[in-house]
Amino acid sequence: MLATRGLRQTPEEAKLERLSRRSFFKGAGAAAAAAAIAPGCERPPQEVQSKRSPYTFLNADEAAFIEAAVARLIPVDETGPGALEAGVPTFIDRQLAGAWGAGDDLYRSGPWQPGKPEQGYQLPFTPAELFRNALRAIVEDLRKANRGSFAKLKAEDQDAYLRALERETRDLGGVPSNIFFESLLEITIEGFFSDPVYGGNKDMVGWKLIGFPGAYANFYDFVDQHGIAFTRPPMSLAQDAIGTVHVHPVNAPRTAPKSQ
Amino acid sequence: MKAAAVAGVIFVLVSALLHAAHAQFVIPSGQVPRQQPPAAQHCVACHGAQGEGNPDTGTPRIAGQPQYYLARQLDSYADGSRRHLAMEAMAKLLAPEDRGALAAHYAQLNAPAARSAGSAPPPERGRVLATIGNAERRVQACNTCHGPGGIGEPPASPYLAGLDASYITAATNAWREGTRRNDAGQQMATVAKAMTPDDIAAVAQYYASLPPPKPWPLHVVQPMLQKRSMGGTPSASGPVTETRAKGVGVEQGAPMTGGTHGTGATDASRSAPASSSPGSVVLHNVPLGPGDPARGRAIIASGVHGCTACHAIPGIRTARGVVGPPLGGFARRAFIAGQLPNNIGVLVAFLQNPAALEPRTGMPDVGLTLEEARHIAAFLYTLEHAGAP
Amino acid sequence: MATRLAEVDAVLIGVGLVGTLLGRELTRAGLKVVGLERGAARHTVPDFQAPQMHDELRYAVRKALMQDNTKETYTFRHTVSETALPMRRWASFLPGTGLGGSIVHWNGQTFRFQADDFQQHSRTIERYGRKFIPADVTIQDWGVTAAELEPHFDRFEHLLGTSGKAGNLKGKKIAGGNIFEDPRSREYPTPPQKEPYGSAIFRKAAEGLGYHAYPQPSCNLSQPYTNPEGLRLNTCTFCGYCERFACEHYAKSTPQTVLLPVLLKDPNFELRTGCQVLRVNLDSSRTTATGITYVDASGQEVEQRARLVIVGAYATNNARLLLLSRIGRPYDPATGRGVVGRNYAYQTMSYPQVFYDESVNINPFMRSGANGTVIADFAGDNFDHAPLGFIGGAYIGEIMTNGRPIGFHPVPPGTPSWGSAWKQAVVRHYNHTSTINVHGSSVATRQNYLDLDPIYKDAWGLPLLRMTFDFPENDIRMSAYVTQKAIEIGRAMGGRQVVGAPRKRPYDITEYQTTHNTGGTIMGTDPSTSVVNRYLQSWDVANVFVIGASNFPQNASYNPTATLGALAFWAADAIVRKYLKSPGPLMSR
Repeated sequence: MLATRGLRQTPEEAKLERLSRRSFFKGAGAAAAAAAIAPGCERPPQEVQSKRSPYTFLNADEAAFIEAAVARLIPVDETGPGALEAGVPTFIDRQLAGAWGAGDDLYRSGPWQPGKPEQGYQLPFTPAELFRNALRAIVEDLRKANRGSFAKLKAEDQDAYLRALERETRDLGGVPSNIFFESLLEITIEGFFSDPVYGGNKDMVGWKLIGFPGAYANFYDFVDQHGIAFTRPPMSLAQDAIGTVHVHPVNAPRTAPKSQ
Repeated sequence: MKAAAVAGVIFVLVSALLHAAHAQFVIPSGQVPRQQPPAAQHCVACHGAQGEGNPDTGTPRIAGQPQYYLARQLDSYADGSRRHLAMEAMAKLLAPEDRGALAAHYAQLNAPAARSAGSAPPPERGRVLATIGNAERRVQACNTCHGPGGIGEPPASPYLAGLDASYITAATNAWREGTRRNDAGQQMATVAKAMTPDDIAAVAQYYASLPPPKPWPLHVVQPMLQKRSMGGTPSASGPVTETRAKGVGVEQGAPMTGGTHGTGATDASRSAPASSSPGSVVLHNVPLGPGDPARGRAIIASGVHGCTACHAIPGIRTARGVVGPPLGGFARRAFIAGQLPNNIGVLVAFLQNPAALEPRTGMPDVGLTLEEARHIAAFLYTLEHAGAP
Repeated sequence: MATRLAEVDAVLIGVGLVGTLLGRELTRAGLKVVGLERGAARHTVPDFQAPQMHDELRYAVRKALMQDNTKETYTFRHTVSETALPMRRWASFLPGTGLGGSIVHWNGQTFRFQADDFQQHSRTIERYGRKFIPADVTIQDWGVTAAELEPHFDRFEHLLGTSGKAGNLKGKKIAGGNIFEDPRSREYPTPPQKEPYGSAIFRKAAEGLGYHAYPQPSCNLSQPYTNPEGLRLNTCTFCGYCERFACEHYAKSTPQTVLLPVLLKDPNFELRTGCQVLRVNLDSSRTTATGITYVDASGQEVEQRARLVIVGAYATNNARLLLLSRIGRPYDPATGRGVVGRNYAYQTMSYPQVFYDESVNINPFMRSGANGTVIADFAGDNFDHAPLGFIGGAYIGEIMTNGRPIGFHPVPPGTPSWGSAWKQAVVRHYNHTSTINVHGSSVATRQNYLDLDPIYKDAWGLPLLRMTFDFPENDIRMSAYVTQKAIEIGRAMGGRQVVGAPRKRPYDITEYQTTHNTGGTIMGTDPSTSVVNRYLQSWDVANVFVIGASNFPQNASYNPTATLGALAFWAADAIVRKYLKSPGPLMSR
C-alpha cells in the first residue's frame, strides 16, 4: 500500500490546499495559472492575455466575437480560469486555419440535401467556411441592430445573445444559428481540454481544473488503490524536461513580419 | 555487486560514522540542509548530504525522486523484492514511519548532478530507444513511462535523467536478472529482458547526459478522503430505494481496495516482509548517539554475556575464545559475520539479535539490551588493530 | 489500362484481423498469399508510441486512425421511404483503416457468444413458441454451433492472451467467472485485470441484488504473456487511452502485437498497402473468381489474379464489395428476396450514470479498454423472456475506459450546457461519477439492410454503401427492461443521484454507440436466406470466402470480436483441411 505515511496530509489539509490553489486563480488569469506548472520550470510567469500569438485565420471582428463568446461559454470564476485565459481563441484560430478547418475527413461531395437531425451534418461548408459565414452574419446582425460589437455588450446581454443563437435556427450566411452555436461550443470545449500543444488549455489549466493527469499516464500501481486522491501535476505530450510546452508551429502570418 | 566497491562503501561509511560517533554530523560549508529526519543519518554516508549519490560506489542520486517511489523502494528492500546488501539491512532497521519520513525528505531535496551533464554527446541509439523504442526487440520508448526527457512520472516512475550511467545499467540488469522484482506489473522485467547489453548501455549513457529534474511535489497520492458522515452505519449490500440521497454516498461494505478479482500479475515478488519475522529488531527513532567504549569493554570483560567464551579480544585477557572470530581489527572490517555491512546501525542490531540479520551466524542471542549493544559497539570500533590477545 | 499481375494462390482483401489470421493460416499451408490493405503500414514502434499517441483531440475527436470520410463513407436513412444522406463525419461507429484494421484501436472486450445466440431462431421457438418472434424480425440460426466453435474461440483467446476468469470449465461452473457461458476447454491464458474502484462498487451492488458479477474478459493484458507464435505482450498500464488509440506498450492484443511480425517475415506472404480494392472479378460463368482489381497508391489500376479470394474487410465493407462485384443476389426489402445486404444489425446501448458524493474519487483516467466488472444475468436468453414480450438482452457493467475530458465531463440532467454553472458542475462531478454500460443485442429485421446508394459515390467513382436502419421495436422493449435493471443496480451503488434512459428511436448517427455493425453477408445453411454457407464460403462463387462480423445473422448481447475471430479460424480450418484438398463448394446448395 502507500508509503506516504509519516508525512501524510490530513484530508482537511489536502482539501484546503486544493481550494487555495483554486482561489489563487481568481481574477489573476494567465499570470497565476503559469505559476502552478510542472517541476523544474523556472521561467517567469506568462505575460497577460494582451501578448497572445497572432491570429492567422480570424480577422479582427471575428476574433473579438470569439474571444468574448468563449469567455461566456467557459467563464473565469471561483473554480479557476476560463476559456479565454486558457487560450481557446488561439486554439480555434489554429484549428480553422489548419487541415481540419479546410475539411479534412469530411465527405464533401454533393448533392447537399437537408436531412433529419439524426442524419448528421449536411451543410456544404467546411468548418472554416461555416465559421466565416456565421461570424460575418453575426457581426452584420449586431451592427444593423445598433448594438455595436458583441464584445462591448454586457455579460448578461452576451449570454442572452448566445442563448438565442443556441435555441433558434436563424440563418447566418447559410448556417442555421443552432448549428453554428453547437460548433462553437464544441470547439470551445475542445480548446479548453485538449493538449496544450494545440494552443489551448494553456498551462494545462483545463486539466488542473478537473484533475486530469494528461498525456503521461502510467497507472498500473494505482488502479486498485480505490479512492485515492491523485494530484500529480498534469503533463503535456509536447512538454520538454523543464515543463515548457512546445506548441505546433503557427502558419506563416498574413502580415509581414516587423523585421522587414 | 563488486566486493571492492562494497568494501569501499563500507570504509567510507564507517569512517563517516566513526566521525559522527564523536561529534554532530558536519555539513560541508555553504549548504544549508533541510531539517532532516533522524533516520537520514543512515543515508547520508552513501547518498550524500543532499541525496546527490556517489557514482564511484554506484550509489544513485535520490534527491528529488518521487516520494511514493522512494518509499516503495525502501519497502521493497525490507521485504526482499529488491536486493542490495547494505540497503536491505538499512531498510529492515527502519520503522515504516521512518521510511515514509525519509522518502518525503529526499523527494524534496535538490542536489547538483553527481556528474556534469552533457560532458560527452551520448550515442544516438540511446536517444532513439528512449524516445521511440525498438521495433525488432518490441521495446517501447522509455519516456512513455519515465516522462519527457526522462524526468520521471510520479508517483510510480522515477526519473532517469541525470542518474549515473553505471547505476542505470546496474538497475536495468537487476531487472533482467530478477534480483529486482518490485514492479508488480512486471513491466520493467519484460522490457529489460528484451534489451541487449548494448541497448542498456546506450540508454544509460543517454539519460546520464541529461540534467536531472527539480523535485516533484509531495503527496501526489493520498488515501481516500474520509467520508463526511451523517451518522448511521454504511448500508449493508442491498438496494437503496432513494434515487436522490440527501446525505453522503453510502458505500457497500468495505474494504474496496484491491477488489476480489484481478490483482493483476501473479506477484511472486512480494515475500514476507522481514519486519514480521520473529525477533526482528527495529530501531524506533532512537538516536544512535555514541555509546561509551569503556562501558562496552566492561560489559564484555564481566563475562556475564559470554563474549569472552567465544572471542579473542585485544586488551581483555580473559577473552581467548576460538569459537567465533577474533575481534582485533574489527573497526576496519568490511563485514559483520562475513555478510553484513559493518556499520554502527547494523552492528547494534546484530548484537541484539544476530540470527534475525544473518540466519547462518553461529552467534547466539545473548540477551543484550539496546543500551548494552550500543556500548559494546562503541568499544568494538576502537579495535583498530589485530593486536595481541 | 489495368496492369495484370501473375496469378497467386490467394489474395486477401484487407489486412486487418481477418486478413492477418487468414494470411497466417494460408501461408502456413504453403500458399503464396498477397494481402491488400487500402491504408498505410503502421507498427507499434514507431507509429503508436506515447506520449504522441496520448492525444485525445487527434485520435479520439478527430479520429486520426479511422477511415477517411473524404474518400469513402456510407449513406444513411431510417427507412426505405427516405433519401439516404452521406455520413459526412463518423460518429455512431468508427470504421478503421490501415494495417491491422479496426482492431488496432479496439477496446479489447473479448466475450464469446453463447450457444443460444448461434441458434437464436430455433431456440426461441423451442422455448417460447413461434409466435414469440415478431413478424418483421428475421433472426436465423448460424449453421454452426458453439461447441463446434469452442476450439477456435480457445485458439483465438490464446493467440491474443486474453485476461479473464473462466465461468465454466468443461461443464463445471465456477463462481467468479461468467456462470452463463458455455463450457470452455481451459482457463484464460492470463488472469483478470485489476478491478478499478467504480467497478468494485458495481460488483458489490450487483452481487447484493443476487446477480453474478465477473471480470470483463480483456485483451489489455494483466501480465506479460508470450503467445503460441512466440510473440510477447506486456502488462497493460491502465493509461486510459484505449479505444480509438493504438497501444504503445505492446499490451493490447492486435495484429501488430500478436501475429503480424511473424506473418510479415514469411516469404510466402506479400503485403501491399495503399491499395483500394474495387471489386472481385469473376469469369464469364460468374461462378469462379479470377482475382481482384485494385487501385494502388499511385492511382494505377491493377488486376491481381488469384485462385482464392478472402474478403476480410471491415464488416459493412464486405457487403459493399460483394454488391460491387455482383456476387450473390442483392437483398430487396420490398420482396424479401435476395441475400447480400440482408439482416444488417447493430448494438442497442444505454448508459445510466451514478453521481457520487465528492469524497468518492473514481479516478476515471486510470482505466483500460476492457477492464471492469459485468453481469450476464440479463444477456441473451439467460433469463426467462416469456412474461416480457421481447427477445434478446444485454450485459451490464461498470466498464468505464477513460477520463479523457473532451469526451467525458458528466453532469446531471438540468445542468446548463455552458457557463459558470456548467463549469462548476463539471468540476464537481468529473472525478465522482460512474457510467454503467448496458450492452444490448440487436435483432435483424426485414427493413434493416444494406445496399448501394443510387446517388453518392466514393473517390473512385463507385457507389457508396447505403445503410437503412432503425432500432426494431423488439430491441426498444428489451432496452427498456434491461436499462431499468441497470438503474436498480446503480441505485445500490451508493451514489447521490442515478440517471438513466433506455435506447429510444430514432437511431441517431451523430452519437457514438459502438462500432459493432453486423450482417450483410450472413452465414447459414440455406442459400435463399444467407450469402455464405456455414464455412463462410460464398454460395455463388466457391473460391470466395467472406469473413467478418458481416456473417452474423443478427447481433447478440456481447461484443463481436471474439466470435468473428473464432469464425475466422473455423473458416481457415475448413479452407486448409477441406477446400484446398478439393476446391469446390463445401456444402451443396
